[in-house]
Amino acid sequence: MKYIVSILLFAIVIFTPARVHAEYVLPYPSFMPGNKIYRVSRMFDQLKRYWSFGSIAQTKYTMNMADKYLVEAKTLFEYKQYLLAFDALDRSDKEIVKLSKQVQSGIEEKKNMSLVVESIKEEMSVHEMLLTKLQKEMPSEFIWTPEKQASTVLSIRERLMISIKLRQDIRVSMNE
Amino acid sequence: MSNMKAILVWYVVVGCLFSLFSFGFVDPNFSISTHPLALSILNPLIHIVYKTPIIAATLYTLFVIIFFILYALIIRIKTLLTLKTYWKFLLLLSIIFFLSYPSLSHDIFNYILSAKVAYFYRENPYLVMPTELLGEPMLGFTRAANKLALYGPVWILATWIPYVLSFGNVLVALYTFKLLVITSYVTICILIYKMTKDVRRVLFFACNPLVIIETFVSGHNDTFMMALVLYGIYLCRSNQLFAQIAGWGFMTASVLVKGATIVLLPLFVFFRTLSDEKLFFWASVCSFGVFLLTPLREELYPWYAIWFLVFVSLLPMGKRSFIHGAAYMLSFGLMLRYLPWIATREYGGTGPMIRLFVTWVPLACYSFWYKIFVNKR
Repeated sequence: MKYIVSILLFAIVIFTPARVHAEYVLPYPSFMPGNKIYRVSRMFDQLKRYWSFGSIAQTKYTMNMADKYLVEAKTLFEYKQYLLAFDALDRSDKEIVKLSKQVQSGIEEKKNMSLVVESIKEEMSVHEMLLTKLQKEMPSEFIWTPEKQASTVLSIRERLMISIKLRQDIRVSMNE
Repeated sequence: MSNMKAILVWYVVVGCLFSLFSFGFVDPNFSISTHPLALSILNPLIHIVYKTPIIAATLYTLFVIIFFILYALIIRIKTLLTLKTYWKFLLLLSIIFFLSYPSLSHDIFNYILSAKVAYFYRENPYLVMPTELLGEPMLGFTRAANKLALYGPVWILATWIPYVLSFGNVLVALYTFKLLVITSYVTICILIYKMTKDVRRVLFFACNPLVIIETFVSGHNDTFMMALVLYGIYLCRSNQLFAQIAGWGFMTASVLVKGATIVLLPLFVFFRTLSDEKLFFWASVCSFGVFLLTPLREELYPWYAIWFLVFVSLLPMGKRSFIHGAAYMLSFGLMLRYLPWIATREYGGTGPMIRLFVTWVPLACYSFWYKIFVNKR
């Protein structure tokens, strides 16, 4: 009986068509702040903005930048470089804010933006997952004391919550 | 009527029939005309190509054989006609083949769609694939639409003119794009004549069935790329500095069409130290080398032969020139590469093996014959 069940299970695993879902994948971290090439890479990013003309290309560029800066922020959070991480997260959020407008301009140009919208929704979900995970792992606050200056309290979880909320709003707006 | 005139007339007649035959290959998703008269001509041709592919393949083989026999006669015949007669012949030939349908390759549709991405949708074709433009009607009959722009920026810029002239109509675009390539063909012919003052060398290039079919029927941009590089060479031969700088500019522009001519750049560094004959010989060798390397990227496509055929045409044609004979046989073999696809409508199966066989066997036979019989004399 055990053998029959095993064979049946094996057969089910082998012959049942598996559903393959290509998930939205975030990029690997690129050059990080402090690296000599970091400034150069930021300059190239700016140049790429001009190269990415057209509403679809511009949206794709914005999505890539939002991903890049988010991954940068994640790495910096993990290395407890909170101030730099906040800066990277700000940049990622700024890119995210542009998305709705870019999609709208594509629609106004009578382009079918449904593929791009789907991609943005997937991106937002992945971002939300990553930020939620970070929110759980990070301390709620951190007191940053620079040399010869007054200390500042960094509300990490609160800041992450703002970014999560922003992405949720964008995802909802894309459904409309 | 002289023998040469009769041959030219035959070339034109067979060209007319081939142009007509090419309409049998019209893509089922692409409507040329709904007029009953047009349909009464198109439908039997489409039936032959799609329903009786073996007959279509046989007809194609016959066309290729006849074209190459006529081509051999044109370049071998001793009595030459006046230059004016040849230009008239080439003009007539151009009109006939220009009207044909791009039966053997879908690349021209790809050129049109890339231009549409850039100039109609105003998207960067190097970042946005045509398949991302949902609802685009050309996706129904354009191959490789899931790829970003395959050609360089100079080509994308050059296609602005034919795209604008087409007013967004695909059928008109088909011909305006062909016109761009045909202009390049004419430029090459004029340049060969200016550089060699030899009508026979012009005919060697201009009447090659591979060059004619790949330029006039399929409208491949390789002719455009080669016209730029040849004009670059022509200008570089001048003693004026401005012309030389412009020559380098044209050569760079050629590299920015498809990239294949990049191998020629080192040759031009030593431009002044080489005689014309040596320069064209080494240019032929380098272009042939790149041609041989193309299967590493994708496949050995027949139109890539235009790269070296231009330079081979510039070489002096001896009575038993091996390089010209080999170029002739290879052109013939390359045109037969379409056979498996016409006969089976598939690219796989035994197709690759047959393509390999038909490409190299004529050249191998010729080389063997040359070694045994000609070299001994």
